[in-house]
Amino acid sequence: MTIPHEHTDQRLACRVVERMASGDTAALGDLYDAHARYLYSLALRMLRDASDAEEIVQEVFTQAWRQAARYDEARATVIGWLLMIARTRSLDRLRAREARPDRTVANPVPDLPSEAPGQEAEALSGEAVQRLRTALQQLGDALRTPIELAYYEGLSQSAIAKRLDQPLGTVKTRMRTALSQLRELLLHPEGA
Amino acid sequence: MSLRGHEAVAQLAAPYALGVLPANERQVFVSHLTTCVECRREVAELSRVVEAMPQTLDQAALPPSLKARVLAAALSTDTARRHAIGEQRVVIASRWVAWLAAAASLAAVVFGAFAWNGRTETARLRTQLAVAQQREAALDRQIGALEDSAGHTRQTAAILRAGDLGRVELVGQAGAPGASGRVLWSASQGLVFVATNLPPLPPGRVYQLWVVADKPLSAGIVVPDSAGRLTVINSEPVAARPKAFALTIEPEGGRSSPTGPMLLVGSNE
Repeated sequence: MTIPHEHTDQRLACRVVERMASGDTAALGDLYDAHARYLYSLALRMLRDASDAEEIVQEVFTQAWRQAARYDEARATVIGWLLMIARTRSLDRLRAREARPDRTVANPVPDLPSEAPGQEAEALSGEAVQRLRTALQQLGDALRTPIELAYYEGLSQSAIAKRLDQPLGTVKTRMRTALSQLRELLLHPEGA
Repeated sequence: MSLRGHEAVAQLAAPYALGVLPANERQVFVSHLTTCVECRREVAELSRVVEAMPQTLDQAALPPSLKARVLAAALSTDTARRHAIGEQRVVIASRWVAWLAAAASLAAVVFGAFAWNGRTETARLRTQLAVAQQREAALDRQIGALEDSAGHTRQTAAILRAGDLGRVELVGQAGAPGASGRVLWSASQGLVFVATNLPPLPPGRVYQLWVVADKPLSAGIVVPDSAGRLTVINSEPVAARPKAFALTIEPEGGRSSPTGPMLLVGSNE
């Protein structure tokens, strides 16, 4: 898999997590400096409340500090690991806030079988993220909205169909099409 | 699996990567993944897209005080690792000590900024240093236990000798009718809090003590000792005219204001 990435960032981030696992308190500050703005922005986007978003950031770093020794770089990049925690906790808070029955339980993507080829986690470069940002804008509302409702609000495909008043099959197709298009632009730009 | 069957299951890759597949379908798909290389690759690639999505958000400015609060909260709830790692041993007992640790971390961050900016050699040396520190943990732990004990005794003595020492009895509320607590507090020296007969904590929760002035202010996250007793020694100055003290149950890491059930409360008026 030819993926644009910055090995350096991910390697540095891994060393920071190793230092946390060995009890280096300064490493926690390093991790905050490198990633807190992404976590805060995500929580703010999901919860629309600065105070709640700050508490999510606090919870993420508390959990990361406690579980640093369990971080496995073969399974996720450091930023991916932190964002996953932030999203899961934000979804929990959204559900507690709204107690809506049509929202599915969050399913953090489980560990993939370790023998799968090409699964090593690599951080995306700033250039790749920018390319994704442009691609998201160019998708158009019809394709972008279902994946945003799924990611940022944790809605199932059925709940999205209900929210958008669209047939379930349409939502399924659009979600798959959107992610596939983004994948091609992000991971295989030479063929796009 | 037939091609048609595979195609039907493969359609689940997108909602799976987005983490919104209902439990029954998720079970089917996870089972399929163990035997299908193609779908594993599909999920891996779609997951990269999903992981990158939040990184495309406009970046919000971080509140300036958040870093200190995050570091203090993370380090002050570190109850398990303090027994394993010598460097953490000083961090736990009171929020004040945790803030000192956070300040030390901030200083280290300033001096370490160049390492983050690409000086991998420095990062490597810091890793080696961390390993060396770990090797000294056993000795540190023994010394630390003695220092903690002596430090708490000194802190407690300073509070109890204070000329403005006040005392408030805390009474168990509906969730803990048999519990009781006591706060000995000084506006200048801090407070000592003890409590007994509290119900066990649910998983992922901590006790948090509050000084109620104009609004509740956290006086620290409280972790029971091995015998179930609660003791807090906090050297932070107490609000000059606290109206009350209270103990609540909060999510791990504590909260900036009370959100959970109140177990103990005592009025100072």
